[in-house]
Amino acid sequence: MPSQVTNYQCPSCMGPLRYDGASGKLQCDYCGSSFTTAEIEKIYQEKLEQAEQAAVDAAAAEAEQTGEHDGEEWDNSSTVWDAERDGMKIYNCPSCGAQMICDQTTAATSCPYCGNPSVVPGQFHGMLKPDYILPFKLSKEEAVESLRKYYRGKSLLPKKFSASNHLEEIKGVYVPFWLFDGKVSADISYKATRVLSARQGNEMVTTTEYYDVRRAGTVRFTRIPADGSRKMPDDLMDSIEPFDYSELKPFSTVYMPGFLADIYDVDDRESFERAQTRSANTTLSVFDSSVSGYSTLTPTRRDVKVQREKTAYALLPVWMLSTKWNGKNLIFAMNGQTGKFIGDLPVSMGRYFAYLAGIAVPLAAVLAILLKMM
Amino acid sequence: MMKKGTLALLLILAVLLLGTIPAFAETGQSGQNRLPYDISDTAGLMTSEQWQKLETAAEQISERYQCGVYIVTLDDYKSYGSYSSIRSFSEDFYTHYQMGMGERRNGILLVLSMADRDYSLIAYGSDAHYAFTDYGKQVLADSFLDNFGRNDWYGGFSDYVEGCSELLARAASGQPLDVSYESRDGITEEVGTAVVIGVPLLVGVGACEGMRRRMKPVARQSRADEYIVPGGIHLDIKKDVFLTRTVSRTPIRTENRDSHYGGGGTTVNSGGFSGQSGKF
Repeated sequence: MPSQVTNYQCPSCMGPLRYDGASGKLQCDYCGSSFTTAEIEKIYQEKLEQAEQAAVDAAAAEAEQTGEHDGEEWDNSSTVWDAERDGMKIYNCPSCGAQMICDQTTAATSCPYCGNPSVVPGQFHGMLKPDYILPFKLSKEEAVESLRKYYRGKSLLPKKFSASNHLEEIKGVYVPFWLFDGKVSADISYKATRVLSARQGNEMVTTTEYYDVRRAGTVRFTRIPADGSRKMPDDLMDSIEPFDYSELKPFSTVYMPGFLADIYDVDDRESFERAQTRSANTTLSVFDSSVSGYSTLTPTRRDVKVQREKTAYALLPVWMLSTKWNGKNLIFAMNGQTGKFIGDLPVSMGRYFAYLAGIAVPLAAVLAILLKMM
Repeated sequence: MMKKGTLALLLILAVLLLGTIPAFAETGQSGQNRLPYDISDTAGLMTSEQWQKLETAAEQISERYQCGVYIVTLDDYKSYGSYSSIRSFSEDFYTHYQMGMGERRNGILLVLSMADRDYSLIAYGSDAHYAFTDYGKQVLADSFLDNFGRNDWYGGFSDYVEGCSELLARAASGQPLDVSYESRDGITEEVGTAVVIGVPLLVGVGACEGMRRRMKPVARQSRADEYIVPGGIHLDIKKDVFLTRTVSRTPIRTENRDSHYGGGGTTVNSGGFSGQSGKF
């Protein structure tokens, strides 16, 4: 059970470090020092080994002390909140000592009291350890600017909405994703017709040829993503694809300071259903498009088998932005690597009908004149 | 100007008409050459009751719209002169008998020549040309030619008189029947109105929905095209088997009759007449 929280601290001034996507280094905002991820990983590996040794020593000392106790302990079971039973976890901030209450999937956060970025390395032990992490490349400022740009050219956006910037919250989140490799085998039969028409004297001669068509084979897919977080809307996560996987790094928590991170709470089996549907649809489309030269094409039999091969677990960078409009929460997402920005915007029905009238009325006038001239 | 020979022939025609139908013996108030009736059934295609009924109707319409509505039936127009066509005969006839109403002599005349089953439909005067456009005259001719084809003379003349009344009424309301209102491709006025309202509305809604979709781009991905391994598509079986062939033959329709009416309106010749002629 993870209970330890780590602040990556500046080896020079002990200030909190945060990962800077632009430079790819860990930055100290207090003394201005910056460190490569490899440097910090090395320092913290040494610290971890020392801490483990200290923990072994402390346990031995405690065992000795327990033997000396007379058994008097406070019974506070009726007053102490059992946070874990409610699906929450309590951590102590290593900077200020304050208690942080997070939900069970939180893997990186910031202390609400001192603001220092904190990572819960224990969340990533065993099966929960991601294979890869895709570090953030774009900053918070770029995400805010992208939101502003996103409003531009949206003719139906209510004027009041675009005029006032009511950004409620912005956070960089490492979202857990499953990346599926697989092979789809398909065997499809079609009925097809080819229609040819030619004039012969005063007759139009139409020849219809009928064919049986069959296509069978396989299509291989790699790293189809499906997010493994219930908190994240699936459609929003799908909409910020694709990510450039060539920049994936072996997992390390050093890329996390300054961002939030969750571990998965939707397992790979459940997430695979999405990848399965997508890959099957693409395979059918690929096979359909391999049949050409016909006037009509009707599938009569479709056997599609999706075979799952390798599955990777990765944390992918997403900027989440939220605003409020007419009491409704609007959520936007930006791909923290490519900058692809997406989100549903409110529609002004007044503007909608104004545009409708602006298009339809002049067109009706032109059509009326043209019909009159005919 | 009318040729002397033609005039002489017309005089003979007048004498013949006066001789065959007693009504033609009377002269109009304004001159020697005016016909006293709007319907002159020289070929004897109607009973006197039928003639009376149509004559009354034609007179009323002519008075109401100040545009003469005339019918003349003959055994053979060629027996009245060396006319190249029933159309030229009709124009001479109209001019000689000073047909039409008002200063502009507005009127429409239907002439039937029974020998070779020829007909001519001509209009004269600017008001008549406005009311009886080329397209309007074709619609009018369509309304009576089917009756004449079945030797239903009274039915055809009734349709003609009623049709004249409708076309004059439309012209009086400022909307003469023309391709602008009822196109050659069968687009009725109602369809035109639907197009003028419906098309812009559809285009507008389409454009606005496009803008609205841009406001709501968040959607689950249904495909994984970007994740196909390079060279990862293997089509092991690719079979196209021919089964059978069918052949159907459809006759090609001849060109649309109404395609003659290119730009709508009324075509007036140098004699001031508009019209058409043919067989029934």
